[in-house]
Amino acid sequence: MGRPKVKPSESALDKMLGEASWLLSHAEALADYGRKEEVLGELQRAAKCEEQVACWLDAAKREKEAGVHRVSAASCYEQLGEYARAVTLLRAALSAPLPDDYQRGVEQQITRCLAQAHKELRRASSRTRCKSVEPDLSGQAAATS
Amino acid sequence: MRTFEWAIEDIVAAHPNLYLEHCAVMAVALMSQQSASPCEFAVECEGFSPPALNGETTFRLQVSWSEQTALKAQRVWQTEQPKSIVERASVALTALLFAKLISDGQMRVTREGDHADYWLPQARCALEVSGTENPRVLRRRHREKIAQVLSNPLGWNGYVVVSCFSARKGVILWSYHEQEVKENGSS
Repeated sequence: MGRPKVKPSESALDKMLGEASWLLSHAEALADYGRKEEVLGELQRAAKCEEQVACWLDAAKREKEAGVHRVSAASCYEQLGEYARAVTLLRAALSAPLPDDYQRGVEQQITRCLAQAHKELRRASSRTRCKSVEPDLSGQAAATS
Repeated sequence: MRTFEWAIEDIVAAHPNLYLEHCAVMAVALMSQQSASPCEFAVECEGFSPPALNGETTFRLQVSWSEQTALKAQRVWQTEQPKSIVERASVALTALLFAKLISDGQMRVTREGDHADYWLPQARCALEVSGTENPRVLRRRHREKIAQVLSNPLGWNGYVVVSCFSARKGVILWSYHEQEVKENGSS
């Protein structure tokens, strides 16, 4: 699954936009083929690329496009289970002047990611509790034996 | 009516910013159920006419494929859901149309939640792509996609391409839509 060469005349921003697009479409193809491990790797690369693109678009005063690419990066992180990172990017995307319908979609995505992050926190907390209880139990066992 | 014949594999080199090989394979998986290579579609354009058509708004599209792609396509039905095959096949036909008939037709993709959004950055247009195997839902699907493309977050004008892979007759509706200009001059 190699990729065609990009024309040398393309600007760094265009090249990065193209790279992000290729990685996203490649991740989709890998998902279609059921190659889950590779999908995650490609999504990770696509997310990083989209974040970089968004930053450069901001610098080029293309804020709306930056917002769209932040949402794209966030969608990759959401799929990767990195909900906190997704929420940060989605909140940043909302600072761009995007249409109401689109903003509502982003807000729903934030709610969804926060719910997942909350579940993650509960799981992590219960794991921590289990770990802190375990030495006490072993201590008790040693004392009683 | 003009007829164009192109190979579906041409989309891979024509769109360097997209990985489209699997879309080409899925298009062949569907088209080879209807006919041997090439498979014919009646294309109806609305709101624009590609320069090569000299003002005409309909043409015949014959899509061919190689033996190698046909072999890959045979395996697709064992592993893929029919719905995703139709979706990917529609992306392949759309990529073929833009590569061959629109000079600034290079496509890119972003993600929004769990779905893909397509863009034509050089033309500053959004693009909605859809497909069906049921001719009865074709026009309705097209109307839905027009509303979607015009609500794109960048406020760009947009193209809609809806492909129908029907055993009776392949049809593609390809339209261009401009944002309404509001009274204060913004779109």
